[in-house]
Amino acid sequence: MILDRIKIDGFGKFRKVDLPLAPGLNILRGVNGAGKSTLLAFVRAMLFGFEKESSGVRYEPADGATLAGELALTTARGPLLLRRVAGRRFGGEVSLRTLEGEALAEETLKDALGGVGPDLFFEVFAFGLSELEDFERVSQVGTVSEALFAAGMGAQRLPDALRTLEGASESLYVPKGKNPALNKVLAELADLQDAIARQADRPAQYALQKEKLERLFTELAALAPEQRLQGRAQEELSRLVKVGPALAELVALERQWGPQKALLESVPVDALRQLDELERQLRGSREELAELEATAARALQEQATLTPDASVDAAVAALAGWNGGREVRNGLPMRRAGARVRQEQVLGSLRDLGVAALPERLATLDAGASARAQLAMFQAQEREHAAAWARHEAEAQRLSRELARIRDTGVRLEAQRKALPAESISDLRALRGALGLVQQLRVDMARTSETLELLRAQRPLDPAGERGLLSARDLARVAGGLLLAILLAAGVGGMRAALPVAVLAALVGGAVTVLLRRLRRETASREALEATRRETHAAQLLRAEATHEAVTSELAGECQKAGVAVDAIAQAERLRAEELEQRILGATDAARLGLELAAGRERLAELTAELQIEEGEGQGVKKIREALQVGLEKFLSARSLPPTLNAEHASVLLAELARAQARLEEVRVEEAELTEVERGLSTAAESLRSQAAGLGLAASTPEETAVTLQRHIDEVQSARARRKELAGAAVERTQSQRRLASIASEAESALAALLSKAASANTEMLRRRTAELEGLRRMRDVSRDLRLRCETTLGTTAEAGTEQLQALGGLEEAGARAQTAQRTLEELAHRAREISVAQGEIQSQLRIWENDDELRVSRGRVAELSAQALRLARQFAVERLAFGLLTHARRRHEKERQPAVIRRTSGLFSELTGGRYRHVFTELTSPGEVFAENDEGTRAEAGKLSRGTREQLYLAFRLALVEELADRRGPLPLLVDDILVNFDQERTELAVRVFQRFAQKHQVLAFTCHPHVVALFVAAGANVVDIADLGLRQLTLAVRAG
Amino acid sequence: MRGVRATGPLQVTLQRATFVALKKLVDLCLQERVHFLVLAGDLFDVKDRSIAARLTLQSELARLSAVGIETFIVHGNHDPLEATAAMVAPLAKHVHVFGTEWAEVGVVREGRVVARVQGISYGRERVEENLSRHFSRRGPEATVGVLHANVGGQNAHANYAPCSIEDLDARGLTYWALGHLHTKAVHELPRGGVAVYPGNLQGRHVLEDGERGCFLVDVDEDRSALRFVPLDEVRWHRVTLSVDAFSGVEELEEGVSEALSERCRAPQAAHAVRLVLEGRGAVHAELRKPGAREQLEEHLREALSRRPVPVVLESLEDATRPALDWETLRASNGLPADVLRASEEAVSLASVVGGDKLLKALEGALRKVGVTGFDPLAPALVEDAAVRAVELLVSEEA
Repeated sequence: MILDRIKIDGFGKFRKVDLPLAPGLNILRGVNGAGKSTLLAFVRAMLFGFEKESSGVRYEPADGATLAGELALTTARGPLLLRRVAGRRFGGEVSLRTLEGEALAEETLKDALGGVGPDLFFEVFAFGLSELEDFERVSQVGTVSEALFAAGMGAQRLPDALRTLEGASESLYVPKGKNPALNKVLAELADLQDAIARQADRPAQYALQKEKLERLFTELAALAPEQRLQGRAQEELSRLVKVGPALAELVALERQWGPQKALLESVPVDALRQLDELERQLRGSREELAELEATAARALQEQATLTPDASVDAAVAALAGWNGGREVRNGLPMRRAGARVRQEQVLGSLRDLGVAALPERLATLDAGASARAQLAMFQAQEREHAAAWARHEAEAQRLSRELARIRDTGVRLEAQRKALPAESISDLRALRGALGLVQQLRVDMARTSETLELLRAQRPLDPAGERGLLSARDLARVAGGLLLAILLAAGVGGMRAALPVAVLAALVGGAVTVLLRRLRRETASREALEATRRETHAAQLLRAEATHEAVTSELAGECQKAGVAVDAIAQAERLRAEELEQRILGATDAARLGLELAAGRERLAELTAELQIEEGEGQGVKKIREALQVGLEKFLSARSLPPTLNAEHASVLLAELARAQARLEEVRVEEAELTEVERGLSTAAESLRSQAAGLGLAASTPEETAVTLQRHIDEVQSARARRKELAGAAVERTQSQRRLASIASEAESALAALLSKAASANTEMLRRRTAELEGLRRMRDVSRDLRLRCETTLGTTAEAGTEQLQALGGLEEAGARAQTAQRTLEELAHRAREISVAQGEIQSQLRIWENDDELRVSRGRVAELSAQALRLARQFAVERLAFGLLTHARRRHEKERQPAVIRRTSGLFSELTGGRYRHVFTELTSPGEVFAENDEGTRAEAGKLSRGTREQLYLAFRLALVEELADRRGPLPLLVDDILVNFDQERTELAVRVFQRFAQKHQVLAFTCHPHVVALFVAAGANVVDIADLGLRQLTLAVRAG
Repeated sequence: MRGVRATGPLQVTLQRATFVALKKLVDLCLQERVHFLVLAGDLFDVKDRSIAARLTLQSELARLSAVGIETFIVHGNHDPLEATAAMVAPLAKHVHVFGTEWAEVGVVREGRVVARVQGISYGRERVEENLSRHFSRRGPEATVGVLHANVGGQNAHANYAPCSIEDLDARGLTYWALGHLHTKAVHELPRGGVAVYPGNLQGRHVLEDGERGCFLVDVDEDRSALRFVPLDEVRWHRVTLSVDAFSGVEELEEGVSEALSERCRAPQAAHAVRLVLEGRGAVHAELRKPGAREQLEEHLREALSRRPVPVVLESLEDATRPALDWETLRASNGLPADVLRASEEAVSLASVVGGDKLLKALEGALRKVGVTGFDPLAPALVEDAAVRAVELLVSEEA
């Protein structure tokens, strides 16, 4: 599209402007305010519509002129005129027409613009300096964006992908990092390896340590005997030093008591105690002897004063006899009275029993065991026969009752039997069998009749007569029945109903007659039709009839047997069957009763016989009982007992009598005993009196005599005991005197021996010597203790120890030597301990090394960590490689696969900058940004270039877009409003040259107020258009050919 | 045991596995009433500085010595004589240790030499001389050469005492008892001899997987009959499992259980397993959630350790891939295509790794603590990284 002419009716300050343009390069010259921007806005408005009133850039004419204008365009379709007038329509009323005035559709304009919309046109085709600088806005225009950043598949996710990979690799490893997984593993690995390195060559150390251990064992083995030797020497010295003072003391003591050793040994240690004891014994025995002699004298005196001794044995016996019967004597009256009371009680009880017997009589009464046995026999027999009698009575009664009952039953049965008919059961059963046969025959007959009927029914040509006769008979039966009913009704109703009944009967008879006649007529008419079939069925009929006849005849016979009339067979059958059943039942009952009656009669005869036997037995029993009663009475009479007593009472009485006899016998025995006692008592009293008299003791009563005699006996016996006691004491005294004399003699001998041992003349001397010896003895004891202690400690004699000490140069020297030996010993022990500890440590260390656990675990862990590190490192490498590959591919992509528009931009930018910049590109990771690479290969973001260079870049980009779009949609005019102001002279010239070349394909309208720019354009062959503002609100145009 | 974690009795099993394997070896010798036992170096690692290892070796060899069975030992690069001169205790009577000078010892039975054993020990760790040259046949009896060497220049192992199959064959020995390689290998020699690496008795890490043990050899003058006897107490496995068929982690767990039941059937005291998940499927997305792999690993470790024959999970590696249309991605002009292209260009990779200061810092840090085996340019890592980058770019768009 080319703008051939601009015509303005009214737009901003312009009125009636007509501005013809060249198709190539145009330079529109005008001072500031001349209206360059307004003109640019006018072209935009014509192509895309007026702005809204509210926009502030609508360029409404201030003088009320119409906002309108026209463009003359050359398009692919040819020249056309575009006119736009502000109106009600948004953007203004548009009219398009050919030069010939033919109106064109609005679509024609869109086609001419190649689909370029206002945004793209304003940013790329018609722009000023301010638009030029704003790359961001142009990059956001849809078409531009597409042209720039359609970088192909995968690019959109590239930034995310790079971030993901960086993140992943950073989570694995960061140089000098601490927390990423691989850093941790590497750190642990390094630590472990340090630890392992510190352990150095373990087997070599092991061997060394083992050698050392052996050496220590050898050293320790050598140390032991020396230790033992030193130990023994030190021990000996220590012992000597320890007992040294004791040895010195021992020598001193022994020097003191040694000379007296013999005397010390001969004189007992307790000589003084022995002396005291002997003296005490002598003194005691002498005193006791004196005392014994005095006691003997006192005993002689007492013996003289004692009662003279005499025999009192007879007196003692008499007194014992008297005293022994005292209790019997005192109880005698009471016992006698008791015997009398008991006798009275027995007699009283006999009286109560109704037996008045004297005691003498009672004693002779035979109530002994044989009598009681006899009575018991009576009693037993009586009881036995009484029981037999009672049994007989009961049996006789039972038999009588049974007889009566059987007789009653016989009467009742006889009556029942008589009430039943006397019929034979077998006859009745035969009758029932015949009746069953009749029933069967009736069924057969019914079936044969049915067959017959069927055959007859199948014979349509039966003789009318037969059929008619049969039907007539039926009708006659019905009529007969009805007439009979009527007559019966007449009979019941009496004469009053006779007439109506007669009339009714006549009517019935008439009707039947009529019916008969009619029937005959019908039969006659059929006869002819059925004649032909008769013969065919004749044989069948004959057979059936023969069968029927046979059955009928058999039935008649059986009916006769059964006593049933053949004619009224059905009813009779039912009645007979029921009656027959009843009769059979009755006959069965009668037969049963007959049997029962016969059995009853037999039983009656049996019972009667039994009763007779029983009565015979009863008579026998009665006679025996009577004989027993006679025997009992004789028995009682013989004993003067009431003869009316029965055996049981008699037995009780006899038992009582026997008990009374026994008790009376007891009383009699006791009285005899009492009499004997009284006799003994009087004998004792006599003996007592004679004894007292013999002893010369006087007394009035036996009791006083007994007291006096007792007192005498006591005195004699007491004196006798005292004498015996005194004699015993005299014997003991004699023995004591002998013992004491012996003790005194022994003590005197011992005292003499003691004095001799101590070489003392007397006890005084002995006492003095003993005191002297005690001091020496204590010394000896001390020295013995010392010796024992020394010898126990030394293990040798005290003398040898003393010699050793002397040989060593004395105690002090020995002490010094002992200390030296102790120190040596301690040193040896210390060394042994050191060796043991060292051995323990080495052995422990060797064991640890043998088990090798730490190193093995560490090495295992190292292997594990190494594998882990390698795995993580590979993961890291994958992430880094992926990152590197993406980066590499991106660079290549950016370099080799930049969009066409960017490639064009590169060429134009190079041209505009005189080759200072070679490449322009966009980065996949920074959509919306453009980068430039200079001839040194340095890349820079557009925003970071100098203003002029940046504007040159953006100009190159827009020119490239214009070319790119022109290739696809056809060329459009390019309008630039003073955009070269920031270019230096060289770049301005380069830019003009670019425009000049550009104008070969595209119409260029460059607006400027700068004369040097105009000059350059002019030099480039541009068509110059002056825009002069005359201040008259009208545009003057001076067009000068370039 | 490297890289495995366990607790309780299982931990003891792992710790004692090497010692138990040695004990089983001695038991086997006693049971088979062998004439002698040959140990071809690296009996222990001097760096381990383990006294227990040496004591155990001594006590076990003493059991053989007690019944008159001889043991012939050479020292290798891990236990050179100079570093092991100070054994913690003297070896038993019938244990013969070869010195740094070649020597031959006759094995005498009933007054007759029944075999000759020749050997030479490493004096120091690095021995670059071809020691096989010292060996030669000295008599008609079966002759056994005990040598710690890298035969055929195996790259995976330090090239100590290097020699070739031809060198060994030239010496005319009946049997070469070789040490150095930890995995068993048998080389038939053209002249009728045989050279055998029995490998180690007990695998120590996942690279030493499969059965481990010793060769029981019947030797006559010219021929050797070999029988391999496994002695390992704990067996290592590297199990790869495709997740393609699993719809979720629960199914995956069942799959793991089945796979391990199949693989870990041998009646060892325990099995140690590195489990590698691969393939594409729904499980991939679940495993890529933060912490998901670690959580699954811990869960499996716990569950597997409770099996009747416990399985120790060394690690669970996630080598699964997202279910993306890689060809379409590669063919597009988008950023993912550039990422994939960069991952396949050595120059680009070198610039990526070389320009990453963090990776450099990490390499230094790992070196400092002696962690080896880290190579950021390892193809597996690069592939993982490319997948990770592409996934991040397209995961929501896909």
